[in-house]
Amino acid sequence: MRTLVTGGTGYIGSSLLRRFPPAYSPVVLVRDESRTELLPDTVETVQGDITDYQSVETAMADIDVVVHMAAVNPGSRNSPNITSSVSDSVFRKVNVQGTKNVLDAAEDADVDSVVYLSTTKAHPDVDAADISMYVRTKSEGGDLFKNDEFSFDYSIIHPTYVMGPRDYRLKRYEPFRSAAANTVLIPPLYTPGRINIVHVDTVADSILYYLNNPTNNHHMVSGPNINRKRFAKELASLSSRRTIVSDVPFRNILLPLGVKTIDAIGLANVDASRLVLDSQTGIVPEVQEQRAPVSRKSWQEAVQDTWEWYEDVGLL
Amino acid sequence: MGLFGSTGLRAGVIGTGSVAETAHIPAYLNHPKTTLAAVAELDEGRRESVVSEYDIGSGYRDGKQMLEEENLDLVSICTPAGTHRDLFLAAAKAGCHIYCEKPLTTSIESAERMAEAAAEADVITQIGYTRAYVENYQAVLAMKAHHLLGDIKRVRVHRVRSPPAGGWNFDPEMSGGGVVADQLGHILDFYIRVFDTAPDVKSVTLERLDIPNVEDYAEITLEFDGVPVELLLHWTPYAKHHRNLLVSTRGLLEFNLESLNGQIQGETVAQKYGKQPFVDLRGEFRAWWGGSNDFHDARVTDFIDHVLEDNYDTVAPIQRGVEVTQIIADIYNRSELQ
Repeated sequence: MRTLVTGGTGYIGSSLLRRFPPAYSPVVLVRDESRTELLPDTVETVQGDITDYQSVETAMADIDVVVHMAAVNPGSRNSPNITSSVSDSVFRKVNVQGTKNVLDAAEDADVDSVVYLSTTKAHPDVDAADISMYVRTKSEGGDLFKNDEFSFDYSIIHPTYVMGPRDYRLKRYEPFRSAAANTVLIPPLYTPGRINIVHVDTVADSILYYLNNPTNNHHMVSGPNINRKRFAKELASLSSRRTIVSDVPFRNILLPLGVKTIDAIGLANVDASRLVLDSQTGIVPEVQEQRAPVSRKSWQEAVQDTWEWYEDVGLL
Repeated sequence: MGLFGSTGLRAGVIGTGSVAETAHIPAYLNHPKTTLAAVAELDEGRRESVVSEYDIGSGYRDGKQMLEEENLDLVSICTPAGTHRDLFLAAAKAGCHIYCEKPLTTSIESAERMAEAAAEADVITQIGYTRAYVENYQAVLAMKAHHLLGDIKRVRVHRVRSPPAGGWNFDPEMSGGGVVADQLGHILDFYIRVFDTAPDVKSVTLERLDIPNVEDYAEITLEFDGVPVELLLHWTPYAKHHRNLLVSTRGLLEFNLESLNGQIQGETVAQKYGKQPFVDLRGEFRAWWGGSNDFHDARVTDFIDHVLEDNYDTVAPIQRGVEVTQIIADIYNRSELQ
């Protein structure tokens, strides 16, 4: 089964491409500036860009199914042209118009099924208060499946906070380094709040599952919602030191006040805005916790595998 | 009972100066499968004190005589570079596996002859380039191998240190040259690993500032696959400055034997001796506890393990030594010493 994969050099893509069963022949859509060195050696590539319809149409030749993951997200480090901030027009051009191009080309090529990778907050069950441009455009990309009458089947996958090996862009590295570099882990050295962690292999296996079993619906792929202190304790347990994790009482009052004082009297130049004191990452309604159509790897395994990968690459 | 019997491998060390005492003698004494059977040392007083301090079986004045009489399995050559060739050939003839300290030798002809002898005698070899065993350098190699650095655009290496204590370094017959012969081997060996190719020599300036017979100052520009690597090597009394600055499309790393710092894709890298700090308050304050290099033990132990496993593919076999010697020869040939 020839499978066109967009976003193959991304975090989930790198794992997905290593987990395709032999029956599939993945073909990865790559741009000129794509980091093809991150792809498995033997994988087939085709040149193209989802913002260029012609190139997607050409790439769609002889394709049976599609995994569409390509997107820009905040702090995208995918291209030298897209650095720390992404303008609204780029979000729209890639995440909405790009998705439309993929779907139109898939329709023209008469593919059987499309899996679209979305994000936690774009799931209809998640009541998100502050919607970023990223979430809005990913959501609009998902809406295209329903608004337009396509003849292929589809599934829209919403992973929570993905962890596991091959974080080539180091987007998850900060809490790992902080845990490795501190014997006592107190806020703000770890961020209080809650997090929902899912293993990248579980997300990849779910994508493969829905390719074969499309539902024309949304699906969360998630772990349990956990307190970030538990996450910090898991990190501490992996550290070679006996790292202690501790909450600080009155952290919402005393700590920010202390930090601001240190900054104000000039003892140290501390940016209080960096001290995120309550962070909700990938949190889902209870009913959407621990969801996946395949056997799930635990969140602890996700954290451990991420840690080991950072060790292997010389960062921990 | 292992392959080599209960007594293990019989090891010898030729030359008992500082590198022998720091790296080779302790590694052979500490490895469970080696016995330090003999050492050879010209200086009688030194020989006697080393033999008695480490309780070594026998001491010889002449390394060749030791090789003939001691039936050694492996030998470390830790003498001045100018003596390496003859000792290496004698060791190969005796069927000894050889760890030879850097500089390998003083001419490319000698290096090639040594490689031939090792091949004919079918012995395992390793040359004493250290960086592949140093944690910070290993981390850089791992980051490169896992594509975290992107494309390397430019590298600067500064190595400024006191002149070596061994007087032979200032005698070109014995050393093959000054600061370049002394220091460049490690650097070349490492960057050949980083770029997985040998460099072109683009420019060379060598100067004799304070030492009469050999260069004590060098500015060299190499190019590895088009990437410039600029080197500044200097022997300055009482000075100690060692820095590799690596600029890539995805960040910047600054490292030496002690520390590794920088930013990769906006993320902090801060390690000492391969260790994270024990406290790091988001970069505002950072401190380490203890830590030290143990690469000297690691490199000799690794050589012993290769011999035990009959594995010829050591980290830096004689062929790497020939490659490095050729580049150093090219540099001396290009230079107009000032």
